[in-house]
Amino acid sequence: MRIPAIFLKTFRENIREWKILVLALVFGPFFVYLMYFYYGAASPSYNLIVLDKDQAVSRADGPPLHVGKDVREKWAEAKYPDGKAIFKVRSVDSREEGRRLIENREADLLVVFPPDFSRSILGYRLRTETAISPLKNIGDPSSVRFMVASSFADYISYAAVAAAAGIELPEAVEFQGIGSGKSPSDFDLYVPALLVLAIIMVLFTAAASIIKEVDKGTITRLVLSKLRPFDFLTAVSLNQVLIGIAALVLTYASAVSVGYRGRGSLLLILLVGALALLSVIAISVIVAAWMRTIFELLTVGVFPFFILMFFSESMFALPRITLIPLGGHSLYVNDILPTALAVKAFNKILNFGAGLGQVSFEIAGIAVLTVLYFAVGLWLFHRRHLRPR
Amino acid sequence: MDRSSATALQVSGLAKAYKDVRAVDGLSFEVRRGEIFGFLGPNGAGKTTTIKLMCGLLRPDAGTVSINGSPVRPGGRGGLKTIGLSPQSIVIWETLTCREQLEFAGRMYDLSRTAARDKARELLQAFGLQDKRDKLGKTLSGGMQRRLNIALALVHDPEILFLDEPQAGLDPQSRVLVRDYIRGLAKKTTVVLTTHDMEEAEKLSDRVCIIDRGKLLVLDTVAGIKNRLGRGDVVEVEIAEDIRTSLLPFVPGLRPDAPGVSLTEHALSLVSDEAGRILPEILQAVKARGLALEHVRVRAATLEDVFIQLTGRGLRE
Repeated sequence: MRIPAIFLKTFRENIREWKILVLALVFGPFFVYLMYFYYGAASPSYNLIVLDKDQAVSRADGPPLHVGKDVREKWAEAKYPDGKAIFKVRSVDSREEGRRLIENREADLLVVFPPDFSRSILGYRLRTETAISPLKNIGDPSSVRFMVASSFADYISYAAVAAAAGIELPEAVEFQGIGSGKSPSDFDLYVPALLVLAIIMVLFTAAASIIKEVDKGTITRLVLSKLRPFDFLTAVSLNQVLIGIAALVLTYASAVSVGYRGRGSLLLILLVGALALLSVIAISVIVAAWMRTIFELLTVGVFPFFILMFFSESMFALPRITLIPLGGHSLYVNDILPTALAVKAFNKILNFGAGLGQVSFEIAGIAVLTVLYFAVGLWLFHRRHLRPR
Repeated sequence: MDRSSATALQVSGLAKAYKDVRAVDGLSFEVRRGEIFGFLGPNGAGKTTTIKLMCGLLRPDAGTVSINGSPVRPGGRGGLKTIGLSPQSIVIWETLTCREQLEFAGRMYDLSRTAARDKARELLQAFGLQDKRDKLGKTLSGGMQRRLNIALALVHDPEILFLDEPQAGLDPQSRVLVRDYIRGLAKKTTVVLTTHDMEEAEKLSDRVCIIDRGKLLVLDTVAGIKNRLGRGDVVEVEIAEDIRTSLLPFVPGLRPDAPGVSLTEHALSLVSDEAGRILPEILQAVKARGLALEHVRVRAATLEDVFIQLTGRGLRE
């Protein structure tokens, strides 16, 4: 009977301390709109710039050969399965201009055609040359877009050059995308992580609900009453799950409002979301065990928040470091954070339309970690705040 | 029930140290059922630590506490329903209304919703907070918060009520209200009261215990203490000159280190049952030395005089 009373009390406090509540609710949507502003409207096309010094060469047996021009046309015609262009191709007059565009991230890839490009291809075809003058790909090696654009561009140019040089390629490669088949924008790829980001924000509201009792001394009244830590933390957790679900729904609705369309079941998203919320609340109990004041939470408590945010891959992808292989799956180092598993599950559900069976490993992982973190949190909280010293 | 003999609270050899400081040093005493027990001492004497030990909020280094014959187990599960604590600092839920927090506190002691509501209404009325029942804790004045702080300790009708400085920051009207309420409780509830207000302690307490540096100095009724330590009258004399050099050497019957003598640069206070003999000697010396007498008074000794006599005039914090 105590749990409903604590639930009601915590609910009232959350409503009345509306600034923290509003922050928790709008954090996810805010980042959705922010990311959409930067990435959402951006085309999935790569900005390819060409410094074309290639000179056409005349042939005795046909029209002049201008492979540079042909390759550029092939790039411009290349399309994703949904019909969107892979490249936006434009020319520059100098290497310096191209370099400036790369540095300003206005272009992803600069390709330089040498002046004797077509001549060398013709010579190779006629066996008067043994090598073809190489193309130069220039870009920022730290940019994933440079790497991807290079791969696409190279594949297309190889085929075009091989045809012009009379080389028979040993194999043909056919690209087949999985998922929706449509080409996702960078924004689309961020949405699963943004949902988890909204969930991680609950770390603050949950920890604040607990630490407040220590900070204000009211924990003494609760300790003297018949309240058990389990009752208190259960009621606080239920409240925070409600807040977190609201934040999750608002974040998803914000993404939908700017055109995002996830493929999976909304119910499954909510299920994974609720479990991930419980895991974040469990972590917040551990955080609360180490803090004594709200001030400490808002300063020192930022550290675990960032740990969750970065190592869950909510902001960017991390290299995979395998911890242990487990039942046909690999458990990676950052999978000890349940939010990392939640990002994976959301990604599978939203981008690949995965069902319950396909995310059961992640769900089981989150559930196990939640129980583990709750047990540790309860023990620590009791030891540090409830046990007489 | 025999009120005078039934023991509600028994403290035996209680000790607690924080690093090198012995906050409580072998305290032993009993509190009788239904009495108001004044627990006095200067700042840092160990009062609050002792109260926390008695409530099971701290683990003693040595000694035991038992309530109604049952030992208090620090951190024992299920809480101590027999205990009500009004802490020295104001401990309320700032974003709950007065009514909500009293009802919530009642529910934490397993009162039914209706019982908690009725009790909240009763306490709001008793502590003059009826008009503020729907105001948030943080919007109340300091005095109102203090009254709410006390009311929160009473929602479950505890058998023993610990009131740690309950009247700090209260205006005279509130002090009277709180005093009357505590008096009204005495019939059915045992009250352990700490206060720095000696007048209040004297008015309220059936028995008084004075501690200092964690040790028990005296325990008795107010009249008993005064009879043992503050018997007689208090003579207060104030002159413009330095009293130690210009007056005391010329009063043969008065030694500065004698029991009951307190001195500052210009003032003398003396608790003695020989005031009638000593005062004329003092006045004669003042006249003979041509000193400027600024104040002279003879009055009955109070608990504060005994307290100062026992614990000294020096500041503690």
